[in-house]
Amino acid sequence: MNTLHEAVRLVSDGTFFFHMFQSLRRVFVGAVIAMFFSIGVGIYMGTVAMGERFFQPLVVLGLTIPGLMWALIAVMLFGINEFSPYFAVTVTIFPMLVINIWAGVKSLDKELIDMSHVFHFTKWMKISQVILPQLVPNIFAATRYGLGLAWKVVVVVEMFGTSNGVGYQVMKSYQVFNMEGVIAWTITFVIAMIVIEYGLINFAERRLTAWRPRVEVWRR
Amino acid sequence: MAELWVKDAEKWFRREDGRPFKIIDRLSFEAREGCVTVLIGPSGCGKSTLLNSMVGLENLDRGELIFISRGKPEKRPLIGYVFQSPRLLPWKTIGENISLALQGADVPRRQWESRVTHYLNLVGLEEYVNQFPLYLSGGQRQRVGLARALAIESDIVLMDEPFASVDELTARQLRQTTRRLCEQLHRTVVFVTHNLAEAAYMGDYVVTLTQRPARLDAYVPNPLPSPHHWGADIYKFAAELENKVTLKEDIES
Repeated sequence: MNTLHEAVRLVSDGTFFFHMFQSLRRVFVGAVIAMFFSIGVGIYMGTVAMGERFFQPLVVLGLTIPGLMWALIAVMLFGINEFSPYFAVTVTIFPMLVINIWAGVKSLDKELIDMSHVFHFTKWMKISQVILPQLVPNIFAATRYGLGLAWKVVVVVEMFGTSNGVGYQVMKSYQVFNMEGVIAWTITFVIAMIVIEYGLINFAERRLTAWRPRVEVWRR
Repeated sequence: MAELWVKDAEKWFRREDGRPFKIIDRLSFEAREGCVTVLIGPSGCGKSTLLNSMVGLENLDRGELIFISRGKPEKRPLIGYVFQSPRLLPWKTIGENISLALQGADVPRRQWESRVTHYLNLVGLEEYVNQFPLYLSGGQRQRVGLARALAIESDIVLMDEPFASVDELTARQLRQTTRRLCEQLHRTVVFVTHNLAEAAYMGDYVVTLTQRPARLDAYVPNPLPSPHHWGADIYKFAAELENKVTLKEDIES
């Protein structure tokens, strides 16, 4: 009951929204930077054999390093500033985004690319109208998985390396042994994540794949 | 208007074990201006490879393809292509699919809507302009592919077994539509098939090819007057064609 009261207080006095916004901003900026580079590297790896040979070991290596390690390394390297969470999120989710986009590029429909060549599509038209739409399912799968990891990483960085954000607040509650505070922050954070997943990501995916008829596997 | 010359075309591929094999051998023929030239030959004899060479998806190892547009030779002219499968972008509506081809062909944006409407109207699909391709039947999608190839208003249109993947009744309707449009629009068309009756109906000229490697077997003008009507005359001409084809394997009579 005390935990519930604490959660209601956090939401009603605006504390939750302020710190949640800080955490969201860090995840968002890190994810956008990672996405930007991973789309380029993924397409390069999927289309140029030399790119695949060069980046494949690096990507595999990146996948083996736990995100929490990156969080600690970022704080130790860059100290208490905004760059640490951006860096930690970017390097944590970058390899899994690349690997998904790389796999997506390898399974691109060659017939559609040939069609775009025949009809004199420009390079930009080929990328924006033919290649990227085929990668949408891969990008969404990678984003879901990547965001799950990014939240964890940001919370850890905030615990050690920032003066605001959900992680900082959890750490503050922990230091004064305020169990209600820790659980209240955890619950509100999880609810916010569910809203983002179902409200935002699912909505965007539905909009972007409206062209696909619904798959009905089990019919009565 | 345009015409197309294939001169001494030769193409080699490599097997998995690295050994080369010839798929097209010193092939020469002419696709005349405003006419439908049908290429007929056994499956795998190199018909599609030749068409792919015409649009730059493959390169010939020897020989040349000469495009003559309004009396002048052109290096890589705009060519409409109707593929065996329609190859529409499933995330774009029918209208957007055609508009993208128009954009690629540098058609001014203000003309897109009228062109899309006009050509969808010609193939009888104007009410589907805002539909996504996956909601259309196979025959309808193929008609959209035909509308897209015609909408860019290129002088040359290639058709690679466009009706091979639809049922015979739909194929018959599509042949009639296509033949009618070819007669109306006077485009230079190269039409690939391995169906003799289709060749007899669609072609003003029929080029028969040998089994791999593809060589010129016969160049036969269609004796039937335009417009062509599907009936006994077509089958008679198809039988004549069959007699001219040296290697009959894999050719549908």
